[in-house]
Amino acid sequence: MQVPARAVDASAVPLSLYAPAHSPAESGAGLHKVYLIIDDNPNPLCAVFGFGSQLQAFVQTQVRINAYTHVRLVAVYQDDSRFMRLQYVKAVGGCSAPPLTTQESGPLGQIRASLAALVLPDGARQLQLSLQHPNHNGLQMDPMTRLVPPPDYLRHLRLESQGQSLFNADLDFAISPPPSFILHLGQLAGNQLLVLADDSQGRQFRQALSLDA
Amino acid sequence: MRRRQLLTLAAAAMALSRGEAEPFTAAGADLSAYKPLQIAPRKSAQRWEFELDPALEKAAREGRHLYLVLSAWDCHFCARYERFLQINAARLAPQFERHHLLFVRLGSALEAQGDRVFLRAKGHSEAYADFQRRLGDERTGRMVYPVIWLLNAQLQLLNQLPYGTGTFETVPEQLEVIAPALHAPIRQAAS
Repeated sequence: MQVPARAVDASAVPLSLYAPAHSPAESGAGLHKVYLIIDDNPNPLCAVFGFGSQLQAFVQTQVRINAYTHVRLVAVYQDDSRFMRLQYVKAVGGCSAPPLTTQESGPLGQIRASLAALVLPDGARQLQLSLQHPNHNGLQMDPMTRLVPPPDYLRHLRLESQGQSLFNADLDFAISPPPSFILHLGQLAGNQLLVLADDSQGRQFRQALSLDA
Repeated sequence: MRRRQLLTLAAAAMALSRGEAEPFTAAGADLSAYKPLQIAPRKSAQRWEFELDPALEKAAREGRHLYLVLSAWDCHFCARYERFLQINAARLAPQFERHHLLFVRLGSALEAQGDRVFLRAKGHSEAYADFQRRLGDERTGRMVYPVIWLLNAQLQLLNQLPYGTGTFETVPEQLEVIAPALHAPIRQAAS
């Protein structure tokens, strides 16, 4: 896990996490889920990630951190063995920071994906996935109007290829807006991806993407 | 202490009622121990412009770096930080001196958000985000009061500070963020 020791912007702390595909324990069991926990956030469970076989267990995103805290990555394997990494981060007020004024433009729910041309040493390529969404957590007061937009944030994100799940994320309000994820994608049988998402307001988003673009 | 604060607040209220700029610290904190250079903005409906040249020239003349504080008089977090500076002045002010820091306070108000704040230096006036980009400061996405910069007199960043001041409101952490100024070279202008 990589996260800065002192965050420049507590409302968008860059974080990347990686978990081995097989348990470091003797069993060598496959990876089941990866939990991202920010101890002193209003809701500590930030995200639960699941990875399909064509995706490495790697995620890069940005998170809100509300107070000096430990950030934990817990990898749970099929045999129920668990491994944890943690790092202490100095950041304050990320959950109540005012909404961004320079968000990307685009209709709500618009999903963008781009596949890097560069092939990583292990044969994977970086896939950047972002969704146009305010991701309000219900704690951010506009300093001028003193109004607090109600919670409206992404709850689930799912990535599929030819009916098979590649990536699954159960999310909470600690993901910074606009929600964006960098994944490491291996060889795919086709070049079509289906992205499915829903948010705390019950809206559902669905978009088919071609990786040729 | 309390009486002094009330007097400062009363003076601030009187100045505001006379339509003057925001010459006083947030919530009436007394920062005199830091010998601050106060800079008031030139205001119009569209822009609040802060002239940095007097501060840059003074810093160059005196062989000092700049601790630049953009603070809004009606901002809770500015008040909290300035109160922290006031309470710890006996420990921090000598350290600011030791680190060759010229304390410069840009007096603003919450109504002046990022798109209205302009900073003029060396003949160029730039909006907050453009100024930040030119400095190489990462804080371009939004402006969050208070904004603090640690700069040399040539307007170069000595340390990338975070948004807000929440991560350096203890004496050791305040010293940690100003530490690069202690060893940064100083180019003193000829007097």
